[in-house]
Amino acid sequence: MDISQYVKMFTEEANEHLQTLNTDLIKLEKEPDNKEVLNKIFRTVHSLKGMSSTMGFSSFSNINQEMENVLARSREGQLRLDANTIDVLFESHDSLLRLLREIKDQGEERMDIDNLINRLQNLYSKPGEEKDALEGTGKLMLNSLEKSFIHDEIDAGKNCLIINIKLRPDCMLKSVRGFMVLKALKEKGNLIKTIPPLADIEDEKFADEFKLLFLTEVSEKKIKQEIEDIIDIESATIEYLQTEDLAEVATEKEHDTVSTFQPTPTVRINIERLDKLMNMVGELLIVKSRLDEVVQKNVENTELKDIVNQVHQLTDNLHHTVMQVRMVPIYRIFSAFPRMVREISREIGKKIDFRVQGADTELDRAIIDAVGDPLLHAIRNAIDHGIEDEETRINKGKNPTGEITLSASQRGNDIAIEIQDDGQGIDLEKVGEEAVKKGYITEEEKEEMDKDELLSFLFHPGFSTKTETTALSGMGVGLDVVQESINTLEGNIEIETAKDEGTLVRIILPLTLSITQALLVNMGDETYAIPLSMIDEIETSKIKDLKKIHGHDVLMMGDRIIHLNWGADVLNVSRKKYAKEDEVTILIVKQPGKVYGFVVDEVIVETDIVIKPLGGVLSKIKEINGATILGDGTVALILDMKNLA
Amino acid sequence: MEKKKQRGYREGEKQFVIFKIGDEEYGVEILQAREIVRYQKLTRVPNSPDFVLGVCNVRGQIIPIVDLRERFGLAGKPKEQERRIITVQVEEEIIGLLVDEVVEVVWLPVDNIEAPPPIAGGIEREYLKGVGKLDEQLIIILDLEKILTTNEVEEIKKMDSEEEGF
Repeated sequence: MDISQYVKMFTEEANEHLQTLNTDLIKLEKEPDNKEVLNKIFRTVHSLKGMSSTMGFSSFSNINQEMENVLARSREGQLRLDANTIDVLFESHDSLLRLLREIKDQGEERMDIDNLINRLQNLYSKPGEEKDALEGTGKLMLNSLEKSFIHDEIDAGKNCLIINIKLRPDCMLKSVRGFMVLKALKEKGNLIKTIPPLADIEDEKFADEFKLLFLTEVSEKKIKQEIEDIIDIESATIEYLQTEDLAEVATEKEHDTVSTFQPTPTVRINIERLDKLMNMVGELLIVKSRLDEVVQKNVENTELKDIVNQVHQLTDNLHHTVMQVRMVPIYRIFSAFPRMVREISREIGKKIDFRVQGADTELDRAIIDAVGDPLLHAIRNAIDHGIEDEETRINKGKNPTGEITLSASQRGNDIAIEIQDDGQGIDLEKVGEEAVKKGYITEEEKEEMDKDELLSFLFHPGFSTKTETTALSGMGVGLDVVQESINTLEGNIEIETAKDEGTLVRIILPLTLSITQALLVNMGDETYAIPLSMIDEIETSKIKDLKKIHGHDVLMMGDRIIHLNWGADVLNVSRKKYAKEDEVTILIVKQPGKVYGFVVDEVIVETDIVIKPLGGVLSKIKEINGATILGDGTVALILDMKNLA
Repeated sequence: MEKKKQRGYREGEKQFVIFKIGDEEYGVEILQAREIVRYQKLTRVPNSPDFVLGVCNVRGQIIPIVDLRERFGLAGKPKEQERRIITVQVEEEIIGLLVDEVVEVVWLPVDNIEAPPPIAGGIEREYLKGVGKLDEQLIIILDLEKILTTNEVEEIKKMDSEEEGF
C-alpha cells in the first residue's frame, strides 16, 4: 500500500468525523449545558487530532488541538459556551473541512489558519474577562483618550453614569431592546462605552444584562425612568462615576492595538450592492416620514398609529444595521502607518515611537477610503516639523525618542481621529510674522490676535511656517489641503498646540455620509436642509438690533461681532419682508478661523435626511452639497455652509 | 395609435417619442427615454444654468429638469395641464425634459430621416440629429447629448480644472 491509500483512508474517516462534529455542534448550540454532547464532541476532536498528526497534517491537527483546549475548559466549567464560542467552533469545523479538501485534491494543506488559531486561543486565554462581561459585572476598561474626555465632561458639569440594565429573563428580542435603550439615550447625552461591546449587544451576545457608560446632563432619575419605560426591561440601576474613580479604572493596553486587532470573518460584498441597499433604506426612511404625516392627519386612528410605530422601530433598526454593514474598522488605513513612520523617521534620522489606538473604531467605507491621504499628510507633518531631532530633544531635557500617537474613537455620531506628537509645537509667533509678511494682517492686528485666530492662518491656502522645505514636506501642500479633503467628508479639523509640549491635530468625521441629521429651514418659498454638524447655535434678534459695519449687517453677541449673510440673497430667492420689531432667525456657523451668521426665514424641524448627490450639470454648484427628499415627496437642497460665508 | 408599434423591433426603423413645444413637433429616440410623468413642483437650484429649471423627485431619484423652450430660446407659453416631463438617459445621467405636450410614440423608417438643415423649428443644427418625415408631418429629432454637452460641458470642464489647480 502506498501513501496515497493512507491519505484516502484518512480523508474518508476524517470526513465522517467532521459530519458527526457538525451535527453535534448544532445540538450543543441548542443545549449548551448538555454534558453528554460536549463529551462526544471532545472525543471526536481528539480522534481527529490523533489521526491527522499521525499523517503529518499539522494545520489540521493544530486546529483540533486548540479546539480540544477550548472544549476541555468548558467541560471543567471554566468557559461558557456562548454564541461566540460556538461560532468559532463551527468555523473551526468549516476550516477542517476545507483543509481536508485541499489534502484530498492537492495532497497538501494550503490554507492559512493563524487567524483561526488565534481566535480559538483567545477564547480560553482570557476566560475571566469574557465571563465577567457576560454576567454583567464586566470590568470597566477605558483608554486614556476616553478617560480624558470623561474627565473634561465631568469638569464641565456633566454626570458620568454607569447604567446597569437588566432585561426580563423571558425577553425575546434582546438585541432590539438593547437598541431601543441606546436610542432612548441617544438624545440625552454621549454614550462612551458599553459592556459587552456594542457589536455584541447587537448580535445578542450577552446574557440578560449589559452596562453602559453614559455622559449626560439629564438627571439620573429621568434616565432610569426613560429606560424602565421600555418594554421587557426589568430594571436599570445607576451609579455615578466620579473623576477620582477614573484613576482606578483599568487602562486599556494601548500599545500595539494594530497588531492585536483581529479582523473578524467577512463576506466580500460588492460596494455597489451596499450602496444600493443603503439607497433603499433611504427610500424607506422617506416613506416613513410620509407615513408620519398621514398619522398626524388621522390622530384618532390608534391602530394606524400602532402599526406606524412598529414600522418606525423596524426601519430604524434596519437603517442602523445597514449602516453597520457599511462600517469597516479604521484598521484598514491605520495599519499602513507604523511601517511608513518607521521608514520616514529612519530616512531623516529621527527616533520616533509611533503608537496606534482604537484601530477597531468603525467608519463608513466611503469615508475610510477618503481619509487616508489627509491622515498621511498630518502624520508627515508631525514627523517632519513636530518632532525635534535627537540632540535638540536631549538639550530640552526631553526623552530622546519622540512620540507620535494616532488614535481613533467614537463620540456620539462622530468619529475623532487624533494625531498627537510630543514635539516642539507650532511657533505661533512665527505664524503671526508670516501672516504679516504675506499681507493677511498688519503688525497691530497680529498683537491683538489670540491663539486660535493665529492658528487659523495655517488653513489659508499656501501658508507654511517652515521656510526651507525638506524633501518630505516638499509635497507642496499644507494644512489647507488637509482641511479641504476633510471638508468634503463633512468633517472638521482642530489644532491644539503648546510650545515644547507638542501638537494635537483632531479630525472629526461623521460616522456615515449618506444619512445625516439636518435642520430644515425655509427661505423664499423653498425648503432647504442644513447639516446639524455645521451649525454651532441658533440665535434670534430683532431687526432693529442688527448693526451695520461697512454696509454689512452684523449681529452683536456679547463682545463678538458676527457677520451676517442673508440666505435668501445668497440663494437668489426673495427676501422676507421684516418690520423693525420683527425677529430674524440666525444660524451661527463655525468654520475653522471664521464664524458667520446665516439668516433664514424660518426653522421648521430637525430631522434625519438621506443625502442624494446631484449629478451632472448640478454637481459643481458650490452652494449646494446634494439634495434630499422630504416627507411630502418634494426635494430640498442641502446647503454647503462652508461655501456660503 | 397604430397597432404595429407594439412589436419590439423592426428592420430599418426606429421608434420615437413625439412631443410638442409651441407648434413644432420634436422627437427623441425611445431607447433614450425612460418614462413620461406629469409636471410637478420643482425645487429651484441657485446658480444653475438658465435652462435647468430645477430638480424634482421621480420615483426616489432626484433629477434635473431641462426647459427645452429656454434651451432653444423658443417663444410661447405652454398649457399648464398638458405639460409633461420626459425622463431620458443622456450618457450616464438621467435628466428630465419639460415639454408642452406628449403627442405619440411612432416608428420611423431610418431612410425617412434626413440630415438636419442649418436651422429647424428655431433650433440650430448642432442640437439636431435629423429631420424625420412621417406622412406629411416633419419631426425634428433632437441630439440629446449635444443639448447638455456643448458649452455646458466646456463650462463644467473649466470648473473642474480650476478645482484641480490648487
